[in-house]
Amino acid sequence: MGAVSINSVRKSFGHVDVLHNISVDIAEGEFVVLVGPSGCGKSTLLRMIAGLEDISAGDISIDGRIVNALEPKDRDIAMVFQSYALYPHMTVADNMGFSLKLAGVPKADRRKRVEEAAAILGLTDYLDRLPRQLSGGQRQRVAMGRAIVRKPAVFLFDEPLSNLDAKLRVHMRSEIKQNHQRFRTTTVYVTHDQIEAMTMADRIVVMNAGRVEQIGSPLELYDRPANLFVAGFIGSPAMNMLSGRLEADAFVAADGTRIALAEHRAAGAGRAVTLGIRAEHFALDGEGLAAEVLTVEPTGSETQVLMRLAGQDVVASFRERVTALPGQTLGVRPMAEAFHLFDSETGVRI
Amino acid sequence: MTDTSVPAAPGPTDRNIPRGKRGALRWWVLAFLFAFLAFMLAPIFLALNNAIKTATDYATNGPLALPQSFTVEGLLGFWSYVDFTSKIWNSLLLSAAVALFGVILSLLNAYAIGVGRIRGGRATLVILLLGIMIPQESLVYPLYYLAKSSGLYDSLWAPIIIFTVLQSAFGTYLLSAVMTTFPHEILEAARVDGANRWQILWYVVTPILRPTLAVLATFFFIWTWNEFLIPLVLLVSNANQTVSVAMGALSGQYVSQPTITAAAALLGITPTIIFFLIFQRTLTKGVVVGAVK
Ligand SMILES: Nc1ncnc2c1ncn2[C@@H]1O[C@H](COP(=O)(O)OP(=O)(O)O)[C@@H](O)[C@H]1O
Ligand SMILES: [Mg+2]
Repeated sequence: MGAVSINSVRKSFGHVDVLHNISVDIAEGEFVVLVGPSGCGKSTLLRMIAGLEDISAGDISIDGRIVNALEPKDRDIAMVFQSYALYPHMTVADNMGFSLKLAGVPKADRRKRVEEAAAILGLTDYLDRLPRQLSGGQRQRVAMGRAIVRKPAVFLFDEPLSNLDAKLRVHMRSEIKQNHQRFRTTTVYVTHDQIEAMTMADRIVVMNAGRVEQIGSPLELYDRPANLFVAGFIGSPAMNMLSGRLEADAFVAADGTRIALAEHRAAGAGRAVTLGIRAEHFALDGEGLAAEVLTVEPTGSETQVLMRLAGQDVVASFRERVTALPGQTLGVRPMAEAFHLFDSETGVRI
Repeated sequence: MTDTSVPAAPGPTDRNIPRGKRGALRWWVLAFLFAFLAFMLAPIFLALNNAIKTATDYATNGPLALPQSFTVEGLLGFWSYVDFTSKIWNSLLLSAAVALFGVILSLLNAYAIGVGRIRGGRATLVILLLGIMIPQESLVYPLYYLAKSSGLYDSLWAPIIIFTVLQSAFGTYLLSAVMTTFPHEILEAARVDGANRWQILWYVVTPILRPTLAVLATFFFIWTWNEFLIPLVLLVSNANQTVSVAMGALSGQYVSQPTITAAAALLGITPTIIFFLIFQRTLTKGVVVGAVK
């Protein structure tokens, strides 16, 4: 139960087109994260799945049934809002049981289901409290409890952790993940935080300016970004981007530095390309390229070095401990087998 | 949602001002407040002072002297002469009905405008505001004919309907402003939870706005209680008149008997004071109108 299919969906507010032709298929039980910069249309898409926003074109179906014209309550979904949207005048128990009350579930039954959910979320001692008497993390749990008691086909989350402090955020992240493993309910989760997306998702949908840039598992996106946007968005520290020109077996940076490629690329020779290299894909090598060290940041397990390579700023992280001082020159070798090459004009991977 | 249960930390300003200076300032403020209080209470005091004097006492010592005599004859006489019991009853009925219906009507209007965002909501508000701003004197004549032709003349229903409409114009305006700022995610959460419009209004919006509605009802009650012109015109028979009409219409006959005028004034003020004492908690609490977080 709970497959969601989004077919050629568009959304415009008046004359402003916010979503352009979005298609995503979400399998039953899958945890899909919609990620992208603020304003790219993630919430709008989620709200269209929920039925809180009209669909301008295309259709959305849940379990094979087109839901375009259905009210939120008839879609068998539950949603957790960024502000939690708890009813301030109701106790935790009433907040969680409200949907059951509206659905006409008898009181005793309701109490039982609320208590079950509360036990799972560690809210048993708080059932008679009002939302304002709870901490941020507890409110977040109540919002999830409200969704869980309904046993919906699909959970929708809109940036549920963004109001929590960093530590609690990491904790709740794993709690949400554990709950998903327990219930296996199809989940669509919106965030602008790529680390949240990477750590939680079965599959990630990267969005930008109302379009889907790429859909894939976290490691697929990390290892084979389809375009410059995804390459720059996924991964921390962000991928290094060198601009230059492609030759048959080398990349030539703007300042003339030649970086050898792993394979022969006769096809696109001569065109303007961007070479993407992740920070961990540099090796210390006295015979490699000369890079001027700008800053050195040891974290213990690794060392991050900001350096100037081929006339551009590049971040590299080394397992080894680097003792070079700023201003000194370091020999580094980019690992050619891990290169990402993109057409500079279209941004598409080549 | 902000946690309102956290007590505020003591401000630093309290400690920075030297003790002596702070004391002096406090006395000045206190003195000023007492002067203000005396000014506000003077009319009530005058009414009380003279209502319990005999007419001779008043004639010899004047209105400002403290009573040398004590009598409740003036009070009782006025009470029975104007049948004050039935006047109070009429006023109570009128004010309570207007408070109740006015709040209900305002709530429904504002829900459609502020939450439902119906088309023409803004224009409606502007028209409603005209209703508040037009002086009642100019409405009296048409209302009189309207009441006559609808058969509601000299019935309490006429002022009930008129004041419900007039006051809910203001209520709609106020509540619409409050409702436009209502957190829309809470409304959406209720929709997702399966509530229809009426259920959202009844289970979510109304309970959250309850303090605001209580203030509004209190205002409607007191405003209606103090209304004079329209009840005077529409309620002719003695049995239907309200307190303010009784006071106003009859005081002319007593100019020669100032102690009775004072008794009338005292009886007229007393209910308002009692209402204030009853409602003051709602009023002071509800000043934070629309604090839905
Ligand atoms: N009700 C609305 N009316 C007009 N524009 C809107 C409305 N809701 C969202 N938008 C616009 O749609 C775009 C996408 O918004 P949203 O889906 O909230 O982005 P995200 O959640 O990815 O940050 C934004 O440019 C926003 O300004
Ligand atoms: Mg958003």
